[in-house]
Amino acid sequence: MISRTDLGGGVALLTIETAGPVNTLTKAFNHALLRLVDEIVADDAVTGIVITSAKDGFAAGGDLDELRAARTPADITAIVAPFLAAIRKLETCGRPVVAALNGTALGGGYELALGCHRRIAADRPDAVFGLPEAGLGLMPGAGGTQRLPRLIGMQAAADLILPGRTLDTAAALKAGLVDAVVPAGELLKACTDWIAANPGATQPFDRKGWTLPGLDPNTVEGRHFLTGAWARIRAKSAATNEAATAILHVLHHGLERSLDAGIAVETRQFARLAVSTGARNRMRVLHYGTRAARPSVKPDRSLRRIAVVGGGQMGTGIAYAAALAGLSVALVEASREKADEARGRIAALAERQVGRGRLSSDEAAALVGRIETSDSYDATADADMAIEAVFERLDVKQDVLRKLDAAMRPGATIASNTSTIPIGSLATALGDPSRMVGMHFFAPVEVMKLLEIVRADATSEKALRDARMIASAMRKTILTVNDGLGFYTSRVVSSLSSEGMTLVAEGVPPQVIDNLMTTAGFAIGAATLADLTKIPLLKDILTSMSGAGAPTSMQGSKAVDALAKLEAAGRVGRPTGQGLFDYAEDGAAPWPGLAAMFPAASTVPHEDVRSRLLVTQSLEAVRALEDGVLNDPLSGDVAAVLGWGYPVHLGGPFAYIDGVGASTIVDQARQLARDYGPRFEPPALLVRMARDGDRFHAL
Amino acid sequence: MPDAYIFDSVRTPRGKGRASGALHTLSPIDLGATVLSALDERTRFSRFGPEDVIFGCGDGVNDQGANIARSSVLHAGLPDTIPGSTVSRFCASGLDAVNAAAARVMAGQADLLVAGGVEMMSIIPIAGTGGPNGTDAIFNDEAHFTPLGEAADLLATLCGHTRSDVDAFAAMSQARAAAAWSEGRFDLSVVPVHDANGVLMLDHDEHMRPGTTADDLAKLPAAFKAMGEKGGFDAVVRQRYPQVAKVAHVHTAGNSSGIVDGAAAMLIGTAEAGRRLGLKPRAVIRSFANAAMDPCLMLAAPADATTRCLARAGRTLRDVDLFEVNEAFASVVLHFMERTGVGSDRINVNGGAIAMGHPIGATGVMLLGTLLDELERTGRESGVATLCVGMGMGVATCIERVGGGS
Repeated sequence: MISRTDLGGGVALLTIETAGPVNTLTKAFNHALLRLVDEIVADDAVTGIVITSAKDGFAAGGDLDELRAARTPADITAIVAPFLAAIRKLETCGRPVVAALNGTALGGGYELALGCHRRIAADRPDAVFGLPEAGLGLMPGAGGTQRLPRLIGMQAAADLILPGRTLDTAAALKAGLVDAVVPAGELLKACTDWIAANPGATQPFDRKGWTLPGLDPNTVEGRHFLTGAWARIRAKSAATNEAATAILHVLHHGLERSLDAGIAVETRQFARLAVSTGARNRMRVLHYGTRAARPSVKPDRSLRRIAVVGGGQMGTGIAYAAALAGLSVALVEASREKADEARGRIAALAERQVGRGRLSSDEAAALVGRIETSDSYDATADADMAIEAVFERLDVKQDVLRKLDAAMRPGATIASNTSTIPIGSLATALGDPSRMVGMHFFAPVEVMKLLEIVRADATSEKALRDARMIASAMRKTILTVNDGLGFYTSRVVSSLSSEGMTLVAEGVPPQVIDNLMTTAGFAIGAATLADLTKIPLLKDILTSMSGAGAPTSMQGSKAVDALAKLEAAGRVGRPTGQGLFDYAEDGAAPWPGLAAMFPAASTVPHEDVRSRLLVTQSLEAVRALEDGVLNDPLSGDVAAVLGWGYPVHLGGPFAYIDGVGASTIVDQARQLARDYGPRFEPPALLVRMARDGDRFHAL
Repeated sequence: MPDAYIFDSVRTPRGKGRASGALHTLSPIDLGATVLSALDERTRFSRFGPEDVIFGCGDGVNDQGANIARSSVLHAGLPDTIPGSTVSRFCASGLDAVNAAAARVMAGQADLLVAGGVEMMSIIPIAGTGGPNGTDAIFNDEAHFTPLGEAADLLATLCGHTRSDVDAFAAMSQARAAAAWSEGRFDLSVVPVHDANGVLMLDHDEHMRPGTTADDLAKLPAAFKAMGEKGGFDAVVRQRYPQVAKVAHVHTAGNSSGIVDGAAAMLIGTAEAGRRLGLKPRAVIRSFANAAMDPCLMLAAPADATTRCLARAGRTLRDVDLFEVNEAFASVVLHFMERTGVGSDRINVNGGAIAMGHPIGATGVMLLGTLLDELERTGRESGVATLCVGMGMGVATCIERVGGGS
């Protein structure tokens, strides 16, 4: 894991080489490091120490699997304690210690480097440095929150640690994360040279008279910074970002104490955070879940040209994303004029990306050049696959499918971007329904990571593989589900919208719905979402989602009636500036007419509003699992976070049940069913889980 | 149980709480010594060494720190046998000093004390002490930290106070304070401040802007809008009060309390102690009470503190003659009037902190002194002084004039 060799002149070289593609710092490694450090420090012949890696990178962070397996704060402390002790011994051993950063050093890897007296990096454009832990709901736990601000100041450190921002080599040098950059071939020599020139190296904060650079937490300016940083985080993420809160707390309390005391404060918070439900949910969804949801099919040359039918927002977004992935695209619209408009929209989209520095002008021109727009289905004849993205109505879509069936090569996969209509019913328009697959993209396509792939009964393995290949080329995270009205995502989102509008119908002000949802961590509330969707369209969606008979989630729903009333009163939504809210330049205000249109029979307590909105989603997600639409809870949770902005700290609708406890949720649901309608009756699967004390996620 | 009587009360004029303020170049002990010396000159309390000098101070750090009461005693040249101590409950520190002194008298553990307060906001800003509130992210999450101005605007939003409501109230405060000064209603209590060379520093409340109209006030920018909208606090308070669609930022520098320097002191003791000093009791401290509430909304507790205080005195809101409700922000007093049903004819009849300023730790003593002077002047009998307090508290004190009539 870590070995000692001799660099000559009494300089010991420690080389890290753990199992796996990158150096991951496990508990066993931490103990091995401590043993070796003890040995070297006791060796009087040693005049200096260089630490480097046998791998391409220096070291990534700690081992997430180990953190996940830990149950208590004491378990976490036991993992980091030997690592912390080893670093402290190194930096106080009385001999110079240099990190030879041959490549990327992140998290625990960078914290080890911070414990060295000098950080010298190889000049590599692909290396990154820093403390990205907050991205997974964690915080640095090996001294990073204490040594980095003592080096570059509290504010500069917070700006990096709070968002988990990492820096490339040049930026790291500029920000003071590394001290020097040298050609890779001269790295070890630069280290031994520095050791020779600095025989008595110590850490600045261990010297007498040292003062903290930048803001001091115990000054008016320091406190002002801490208050402002807290407020900005709190405003954005309510009280859901426990990592940010803990990071600010340890900066504050750690920096007004000695390094050792500061590290004790850091360890306490790190250990608390690492076993918290919020951090575990984030790790599960953002690390393990998205990894599992990455398409396993690699793009090959069997898919080089795709046809997209429909040049609206979805169609142009799909065409853009396909062209960005290097595919040749044939975009078909009903008329030459509409085809030209679609081309204009794609060009504008590419232009915006150039403006944001995400594409060069040449890349943008090449991207647009890969897209052919046409008013004829002839353009689809040589396509390897087609995706239709026309108006969401069965007959409209089937008409397009028939034309594609006639124009395209036999057997070429035909996908529908429908968000609700069962693929099986669309496929009846095709001679061979096995070539049909669902590809439910999310708007805006070029931004949203999620793609819901729908496999109907008849869908062939080839069609499914083609859909996954496109997803892989577009770098999407996928959710593969089985066929059914609204599949998974639209089904759960519809239940949420339906409950939101039922609350409106019961006289709950729309800002209450939105504020309670954003406070829970949702990106957007159900009331604003209804206005954005447009009231008439939402009415159509919820009507069609009701299907032939009212599904459980719609029983007792007052949504469609409420939406019809709003539509009749001209409250159409965001586009006209008049929906549940009145939209003006200085912001949105609840429409004063709502109280008269929907008089409150009784006041719904805020706690009930909150639990209705959350429990609705969990119940519908469980029903989708029970019905066999959804294959597993983890993919359903990942899709919730990526697809409709479900709060990641809650972990998704299934993890939410785990967090509260299945039996508590069943009790809550039954109470809600008594108070608000049978749609809250818990599904049998959930009742069974409650009885058996089961969870959806073991970890 | 012995009764606790007020024998006399003095205060400094209030200087602007900034570098150009008339008191800024002095030290907090100078203000503390000024009121102690003036009180001693008038009552000769030092002849029978009081049990303690209790000073309220909101932010007792730096030049205001390390027991500003005992420091002021010594700086005033009073006998070194007089002890001193400080209490702090932010804006109610001064009133808490009074209540603590009264409680000791009532408990039979002291027969004579000075209660007072000092705050020089020109050198120690509000919240200059630090502390977890606002600084510690974990505590902020727990306590739903809200800055004072944001809480005031939230209170206005929830109560439906418009900008013209709060400006009208502020204009009234200015008019009443101007009238009171011109009629000499503060003459009994206000003692001028001199420097070490005997040069007059200030003899009037410097923050006042007589003649201010609601129209003038309407031109001022909202003071807490940027903090709320850009700083994120509007979003933060909506998390606690989801019924709020948009925070109405109605408070300005003109309808919020003034930032000032000042000090006050009051002599409190038993009837027997008064007789020893040859002083007639001016009022009895009948009861006092505290209340607390959600720290996010923060500023609405004076009504509860008052109700509790009056219940303890066996009184109702109706049979209290006058109220001094600290004008931390206009909405605080408007809310108090709405909650209690007490009309503006009985509240802050000589203006308040919007016009004259709010020297945090001294204000409670000043309010009670002003109340006592006005009860005497008008021949009325009972009054309540109350203040809202940071982190969601309220303090109230009820006094009655002794013997009725003047």
